[in-house]
Amino acid sequence: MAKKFYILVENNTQGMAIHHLLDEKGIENHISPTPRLLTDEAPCGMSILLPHASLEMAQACLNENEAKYIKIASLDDPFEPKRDRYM
Amino acid sequence: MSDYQKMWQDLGMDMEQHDMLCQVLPSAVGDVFLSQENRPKSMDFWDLVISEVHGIRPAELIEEQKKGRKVFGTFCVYVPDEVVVAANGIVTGLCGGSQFWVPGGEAVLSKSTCPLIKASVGARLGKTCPFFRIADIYVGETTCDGKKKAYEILGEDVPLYVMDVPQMKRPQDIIKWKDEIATFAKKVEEFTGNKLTVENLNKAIHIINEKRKALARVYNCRKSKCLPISGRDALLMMQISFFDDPERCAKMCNRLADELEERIAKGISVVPEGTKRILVTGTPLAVPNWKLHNIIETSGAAVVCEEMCTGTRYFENLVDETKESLDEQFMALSERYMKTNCACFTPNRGRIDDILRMVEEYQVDGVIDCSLKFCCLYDTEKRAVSQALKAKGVPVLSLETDYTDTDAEQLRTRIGAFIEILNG
Ligand code: SF4
Ligand code: SF4
Repeated sequence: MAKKFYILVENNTQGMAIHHLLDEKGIENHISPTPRLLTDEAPCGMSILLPHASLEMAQACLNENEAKYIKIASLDDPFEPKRDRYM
Repeated sequence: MSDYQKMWQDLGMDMEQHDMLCQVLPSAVGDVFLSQENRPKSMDFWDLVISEVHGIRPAELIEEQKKGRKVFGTFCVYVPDEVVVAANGIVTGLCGGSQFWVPGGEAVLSKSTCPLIKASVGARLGKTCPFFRIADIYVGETTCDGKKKAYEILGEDVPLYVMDVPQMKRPQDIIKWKDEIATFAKKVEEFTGNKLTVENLNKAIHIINEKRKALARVYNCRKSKCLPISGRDALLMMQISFFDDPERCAKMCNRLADELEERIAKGISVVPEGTKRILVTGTPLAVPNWKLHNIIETSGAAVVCEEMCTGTRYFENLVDETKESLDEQFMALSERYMKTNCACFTPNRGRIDDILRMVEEYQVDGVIDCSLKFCCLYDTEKRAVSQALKAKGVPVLSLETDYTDTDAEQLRTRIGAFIEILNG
């Protein structure tokens, strides 16, 4: 699994605005809980997850539309479907 | 979720413990849901709800309480949401699905109580779940012994009303349940200050029927050979439907069903052709219990149906919307609810018939019958389930598990071997 990118936001209104904007432009993105490793940098429980392939297009789209967000952070291989660590 | 800190503090939650619980959520959601490829786009709604599970909906409930509405917390699909909705109340499911809450429940319950009950009690007493703090009243029911005793303990801490569920399904039991619904309606009227009328009850019946129809539409799509949604995603949708607003729930499920129907038409499946199709049956999978589905679906098979209360039992059968008096409406409610086939009833042949029917409808290759540890009722029914399926030549695997991660490896081995047999 490749590197993943997270658009960190102040609140979910900001997050949802970015989600809709990227959707509108056909840029793959997903709503994700903010990974624990990044919560010091963002107060919001949700962030926008980008696959590597969406990163450049997403950045350009955010700039073009002057979208408000905190920053884009990255994590190596955050998912392990067979980790079997449930809640 | 730190923008909800103040709300949690105001709810009297144990902030430190709650923070520990929240720590696990992102990686569990990532591993189970976000790691999947090619998910339906409409899952974004449920991704948002689960990302902010202790934030968005609790905040909405508190806003409604400020307007004078009451929140009823429930633990069983036998409690008729319609009665609460008719009186302008709000229903929120409260069953606990996390190991995090189990030790808190164990402190006051017998060790040999199922984890669902332990977690539900632990979530309340440990003050680590906003839904358990927000509910103005809990509605219990006399289903299994473990729950009956747990309600006595919960009732020391929070207003609690218990409905007396029959144990059998004879005509007189259906009348008895109708009377019990009528008595519950009086309690709801008293608690909310709002009278039930034929009109508001019919409207509520319609709202909940529409929710059931929308859930059924999503499940219908899972019957297709071209599988447009994973079992994990369908389970998440189902789990969240227990605490979402019913009208929004119907809207979102219909939106998802539209997309799934389109996917089927275009031949878009989430699994390769020939992937074995599993029906899961047994005890409910309360949120965030995702272990079984995740193990099955990361072992090369797909879950296509859940014959459980967090599944078909929640939405199958509609309430007759044509009745013209409260008495007739209560009877219509009783008739619908008494069709739910729970192992608390004897005999419970209806459940076996449902499983056999669903094996056909969902084009199932194998059944996994899984119960929670210490649930003697569903554990005992495994024998009848297995006999009936074997007689029809349907492979079945019977399992028992709890909320811990410690048996995951063993489950992977057993489920993996079962899928290998199915693959021939
Ligand atoms: S399994 Fe039985 S007791 Fe549990 S929610 Fe379902 S109907 Fe109620
Ligand atoms: S899983 Fe079994 S023991 Fe647990 S609450 Fe449900 S019926 Fe009772």
